[in-house]
Order: sequence, then structure tokens, then C-alpha cells
Amino acid sequence: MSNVSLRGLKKSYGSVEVIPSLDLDIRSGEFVVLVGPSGSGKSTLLRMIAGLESIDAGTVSVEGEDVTQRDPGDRDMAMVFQSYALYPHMTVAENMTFALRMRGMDKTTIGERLTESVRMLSLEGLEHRKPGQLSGGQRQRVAMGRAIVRQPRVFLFDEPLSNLDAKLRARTRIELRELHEKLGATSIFVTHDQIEAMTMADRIVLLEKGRIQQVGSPREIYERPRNTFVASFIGSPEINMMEGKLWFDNGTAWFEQLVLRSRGSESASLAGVAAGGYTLGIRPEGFDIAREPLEGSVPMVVGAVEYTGSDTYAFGKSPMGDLTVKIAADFQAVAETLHTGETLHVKALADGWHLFDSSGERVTGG
Amino acid sequence: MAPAGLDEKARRNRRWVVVSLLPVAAFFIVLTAFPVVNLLGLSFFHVEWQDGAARFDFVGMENFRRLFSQETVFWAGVRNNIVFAVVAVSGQMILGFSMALAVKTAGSYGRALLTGIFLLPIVVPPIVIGTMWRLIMGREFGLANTLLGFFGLGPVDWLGDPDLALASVIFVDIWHWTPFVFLLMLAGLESLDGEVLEAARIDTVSRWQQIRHVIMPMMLPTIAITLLFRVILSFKVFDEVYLLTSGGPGTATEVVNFSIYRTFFRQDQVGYGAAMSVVTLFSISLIIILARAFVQRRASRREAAT
Repeated sequence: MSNVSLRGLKKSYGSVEVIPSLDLDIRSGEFVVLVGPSGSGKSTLLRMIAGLESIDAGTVSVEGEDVTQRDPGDRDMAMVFQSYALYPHMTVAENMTFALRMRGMDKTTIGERLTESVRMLSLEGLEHRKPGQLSGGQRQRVAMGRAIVRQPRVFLFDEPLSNLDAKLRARTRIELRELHEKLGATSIFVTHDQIEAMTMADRIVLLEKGRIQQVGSPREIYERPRNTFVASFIGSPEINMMEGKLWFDNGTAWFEQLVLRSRGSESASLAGVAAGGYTLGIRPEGFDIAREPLEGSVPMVVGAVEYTGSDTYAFGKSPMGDLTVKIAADFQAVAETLHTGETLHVKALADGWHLFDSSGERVTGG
Repeated sequence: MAPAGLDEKARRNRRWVVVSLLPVAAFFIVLTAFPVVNLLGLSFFHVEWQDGAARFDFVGMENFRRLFSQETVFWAGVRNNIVFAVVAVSGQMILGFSMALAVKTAGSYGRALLTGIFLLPIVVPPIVIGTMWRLIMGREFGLANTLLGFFGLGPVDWLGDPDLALASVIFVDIWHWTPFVFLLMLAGLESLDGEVLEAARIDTVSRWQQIRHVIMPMMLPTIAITLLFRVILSFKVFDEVYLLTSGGPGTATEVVNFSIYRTFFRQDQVGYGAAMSVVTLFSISLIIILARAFVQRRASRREAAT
């Protein structure tokens, strides 16, 4: 069983520090997704693990074995590239068996592994085609096959789905996940797409400016973002962020005109938190909507309505700034008649809010 | 649109194609086709200079008969030229390719420096190259022999020894033309897909495997073009031979181009020289046609195999 461990990893290009110092442990058989905006260092990090990028300081080890100084071909890792990087002069079968042939593996084993992978990826009948004669989706599968036949200790994926069209991408996401369940190999997947991260990962590693912002399951990251960056990056449409004052009135917590409730004993999660200036984050689905004002609600003048088929979102202005509100399914009657210029009254759902201090860190009560 | 309108459009298109190609075609006929035809004609004549005018005597195939039965110097030149082409071009290809690989993997700083140094020979005028190497390879005071002298070796008569002269000329040609090959190879390497090369780094266990199984096959078109170009040019070598050895000693460094030059201009045997040119021209054309056919057949067989 393999696990990848990064210790004090550093990388700079000249005076530009891409990765200041990074520690990360990846458990064996885990599907880890490195996600972040462009320039966050996620691809660089993956390439450092692969050995394609030199490492300024720190160590990469696999199964407790230090591989920092090893060549990329000597780390027992396989990588799937964004452009698939198939060898244009080789057939599908030659592409897939290349690494095995270069390692002098015997022909029978190579043949067995090839047949197995070709079947697994439904590439039957394409074995003798050149990459130039394949569609984008087929090439993507050949690139996967090239990694699978090696049965490596670690799979590395560098945005392998970003060149596929939306429909194919959604399907490949599921196939990849199923493949992972079958093979159970340690996988590190880089993407800038938060949907890919959310749907595929066992654990998400969210990076920005070469620093890990948060590591956790998709649910943890979505429901308990550790800072404003994580909260804003994950979730679509984006979370609503409001600056303002937190105050307490007779045991009830208020954020400006909004009342903040918790499901447990009231305001329990804010126990011990001092009143003052904070940032409040509420996801579009974290609102309760009414046509009439309620206690602790704010009015919102609807500026635009977006209907996506399954959901309806209202965009509008409130005294606390611009808001995006998801109209819940049991409120579809409102959604159908909603028109711009109308005023809705919105209120934070119990536990539907996140509080961050002035440095952007999550605030939790004692 | 109606078919009539389409026809009209096609006709106008064709007219435009003809008109725009005409100047180039005319240029080609005047400057290339005409001289070749003229040369072919000339090869059937014996030309004498009398009272400041040329007198043409039609001799039929006599010039060719003489070339194929009595000539020795020209055929020595052909033999030398084949050796020259094979050795010099192979040397240039191997060196040029290796240097391009080295530069490609060097850092940006080393890259600029190496490229500058490697390109130096190609910017030196041929006349300077000839003179410079003649000085270096001179028997008595040459730099090469002075250096050998430090080790108690030599002196070696680089250009005067019949066994060494051709090798020396080949050496200078390799020095002269490797930068050209290097440049084309570097351009070819730069155009390769970076991710494919990275995939190769992960899939292989040695640098040699990367070169042999990924880089070389992907570079094949560049290699083929460069090779063809260099082979043709090596059959036209003149300046280096003229300046270094003038074909000597004996016929040791005689090359085709040099024989033609001497027969045509020095000995005023215009008809005979023309016959030599015609034979050379057609032989090289034949080689190119065969080479192209071979490459295409291989390519199509490979397609068929897939």
C-alpha cells in the first residue's frame, strides 16, 4: 500500500516564490484533488511530485521511500496530461505498452495487461490506429490506458478533462471515479474546476499562492470553509459575502439587520465571540425567502432572475449589498411569478451562515 | 446560387490562378529551364574559339562517349564526391543533432551562449574559411602542427598527403556546415510537443530511450529534409576544395564540381564540360527522385499497416 508524503517542499522561479513550503500526506488508495485558481501552484506541485520540475528544498517520498532525487521514469508514477501527450508516431497499442516495453517486461505480460486495459476502457478495435485518427474522447482514454497498464504506485492527473466538451467531461468524471474504485490506486488529480474537485475527490487540497488553504472532504470544505478564500472559491453561484457588525441582543446574535440562528441552543456556536466588525458569508441556498418582512430579515429588490432548469436564482440589491439567492424548490410558486423590481425579504437559515474575522479566518464559538 | 454563377466563379478563379502564377513561371523558364536546355544542347557540340568568336561543330554523342570511355579525372571526382557526401553529411547530421539536443536541454543562459558559438562558422565567408583552414593545416607553420608539436607529434602534411587530403577537406566541410544542420534540428526540436517529451521522461528509464524511441521518430521529417538538402549541397561543393587543395594532390580531393569548372573554364572544353554537367545533373535528379519515392513508399506502407 502506498502513500505519498511531501515534507517542506519549496519552489521558486528566480525571485518569484511559487511554493513557499508545503507539507502534505496522501493516504494510500486515496483520490486527492489539488484545486485552486490559475497561478496557485497546483500544476507545479504535481510536476514536482512527478519529478518533471526540480525541487528547491524538501522531500517527496512514496511508501516511506525518498524519491526526491530520482528521475521521473524511476518513481513508479504514471501521469495523464492535459493535452494527452500521446506519441503521434505510435499506434494506440504501442502508446499504451511503451513504458512496459522500455522496462523490458516480457511480451506475454505486456499482452495481458494491454488486453485488460483495452477492455476496461472500451478501446477494442482501436489498437492499431494512430492518435491522429482518434476523437478527443478516445485520445483521453488512450492516455488513461497508458497510465493504467503500468500499474504504478501513484497516478498523476494534470487537468485531463479540460479539453473535453461539457457532456463528455461529465461522463468521463464518473468513469474515472468508477475506475478508481476498481483499481484503488493512489491518485493525485489537478484541476481548476471546483465541480470536478467536489464530485471526484476523497479529499480536496485547496491551494492559493502555493499555500494550502484547506484540506478536507468535499463536504467539510463546503460546509465548514476555513477562510473567506475557500468559501468564495468553492460553490457556484458564489457565496454572498457581507461586511458588517455583529451584535448581541438578549442572547440573540445579529449581523446588522440579519438574525443569526443555530440549530442547537440559540447562538451556541457564537458563545464567547466578541461583538464587532466581521465578514458574514451566506451561500445562495442559505436563505429563507418571504414576500412579507420577518423579524431579522432584509429586503432585497430583485434585479435579475436566472432559471437553470432545476433551480432558480434571484440576483438583487439589499441594504447589506448585492445578494444571490436560490429559490428553494418548495417556493416554486414564487419563482414562477417572480419579476424584476419586486421586493423579497430574505433571512439567514439556521446554521446557513459562516462568520469570518477581519483576517478572513473562520470564527467559531467555544 | 445557380450552377451558371458557380461556373463563372470557377472560371474567374482559374484565370486568377494562371495570371498570378505567370510571372514566376516566366522567371523559372528564363532562369532555370532555358539554361538547362542550353546546356543539354551544348553537350552535343565541340566548341572552338577562333578570332574572338565561337565555332560550333556538331559532334553528336562524342562528348559522352569520351566521358564514359577515356575520362579518369572526372570519375575520380565522382568517387571522391560520394565518399565526401556520405562521410561529411553523416558527420554533420550526427553532430548537428547532438548539439541541438544539448542546447535544447541547456538553461536559457547556456543556450544563448552555445547557440552563438555554434553558429559562428556559418557567418564566416567561404573564402575566409578556406584561407583560415589552409593556414591552420599548413605543413610548416600551421597551427595544427604547432599544437601536435607540443606533444612531440607530427608534422603532418594535412593537405599535401594524398591519404589525408580528402579527410582534411571533409573535416573542414563538417566544421563549416554542422551549424546549418544544428539550426534546422534545433528549430525541429523546438516545434515538438513539450508534454509529449515529458510523457517520454516518465515512460522511459534512460535518456537514450527518449531519443531513440520518441525524439528521433518525431524528428523524422526534419531529418529527411535536412539530409536531402545537405546531400545535394555536398555534390556542389567547390569553394572549400578550390581554396584548400585545388583538387590535389593528384586527384586525391578532386570533386565533380571542380572537374567541371576546370574542363569548362580552364581548358575551354565547353562541350565536354557541358556533357559532364548534364551527367551530374541527371544523376542527382535521379537520386532525389528515388529517395523521395523510397520515403513515400515507406510512409504509405506504414499507413497501410495501421
